[in-house]
Amino acid sequence: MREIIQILMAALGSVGFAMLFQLHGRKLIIAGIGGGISWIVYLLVGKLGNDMLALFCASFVVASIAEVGARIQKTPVLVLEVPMLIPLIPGADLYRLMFRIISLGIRNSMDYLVRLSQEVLLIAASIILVSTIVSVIVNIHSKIVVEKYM
Amino acid sequence: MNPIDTRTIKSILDAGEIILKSGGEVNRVEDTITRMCLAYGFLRADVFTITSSIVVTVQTAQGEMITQTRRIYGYDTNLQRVHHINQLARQVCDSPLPIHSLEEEIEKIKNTPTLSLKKNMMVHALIAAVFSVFYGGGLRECCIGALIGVGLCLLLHYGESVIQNPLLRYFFCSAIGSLGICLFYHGGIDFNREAVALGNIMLLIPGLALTNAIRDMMNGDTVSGLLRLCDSLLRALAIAAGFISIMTLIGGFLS
Repeated sequence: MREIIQILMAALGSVGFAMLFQLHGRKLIIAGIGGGISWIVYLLVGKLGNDMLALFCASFVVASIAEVGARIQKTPVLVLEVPMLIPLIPGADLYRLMFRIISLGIRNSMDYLVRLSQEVLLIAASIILVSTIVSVIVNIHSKIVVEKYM
Repeated sequence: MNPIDTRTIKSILDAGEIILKSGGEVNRVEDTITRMCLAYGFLRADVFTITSSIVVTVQTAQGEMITQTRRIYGYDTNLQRVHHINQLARQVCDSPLPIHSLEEEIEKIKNTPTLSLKKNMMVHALIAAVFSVFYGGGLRECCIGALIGVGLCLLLHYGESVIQNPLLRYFFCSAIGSLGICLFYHGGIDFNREAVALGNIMLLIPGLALTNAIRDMMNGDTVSGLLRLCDSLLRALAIAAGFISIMTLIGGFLS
């Protein structure tokens, strides 16, 4: 039950941020679905016991959905990707890190710092991985098409 | 120097400025400007962009070199504008518009209406409520989160003209947000304070900017990435400082 509420909230949160970023119409729905799916993937993979793996898989899936959706909607990938990533973004961890640095000093917050850097790096890496895979596919595809008609 | 060329470059820079201000990646800005310049018949276009400035040098068909610089102030994520400029750029690359209609189109995109204050308040309330529940709250946390979210929206809206320094503005906004939570708590309502605090912090914290900064750096735009990284870390520090200062003054809730 708790999980279902969280998934719903992730989807609604993505829609909320999409509205805050001035999107409207069908893009809101796509953003909501993407946000919900991201959290489903996160929870499912998280059952294996590795948070970081879950984060990587979830952002990989989100980036893939965004790439596909962007091509259907004829819009930059970033427009869909940014609101969909919201539930995965480590905003809470960033806040906890800063909170700890101020209250306990930087020496006692190293584990938080490491965790935050890992999360941010993983999300960025998986997004770049997806966009690279897509551009490789597009390149190969266009080469095949060109050769066909030459 | 041909005045038409100068106007064209000015319009193209306007388009780039809108993308950069509205939250587009540095990569995209450089790519769009280069493509548009080439579409308008310039022989060569060199673009350099960091988060606060765009420099473009083009070689015209007559062999002249024209350089223009644009300093970028203030950001406001607006993905709808990125979408419109992207469509305009595609159109231009297919068949260049005459310069006056390009100027008109860009002016139109610049003036697309944003959310009214009332709708903005509703969106802030929605986000704060949703994330209060997301981080482990219930119905009570949801309501309190929404109320504080509306307050934060008003503060951010009216604070912009009062406090010029963005870091100080965020400091005060988060301080007043945490004051609200403390008041509710001392008013005798027992609720999950961490959930409400985290839900409202989602409105302020630059988690997205941090991720985008790392992404820029991995994409090869190290300088812009570093600028954004420093910016978002400082902002997060200001927000945490605002929360913690009220908590130590009034007391009553832990993280």
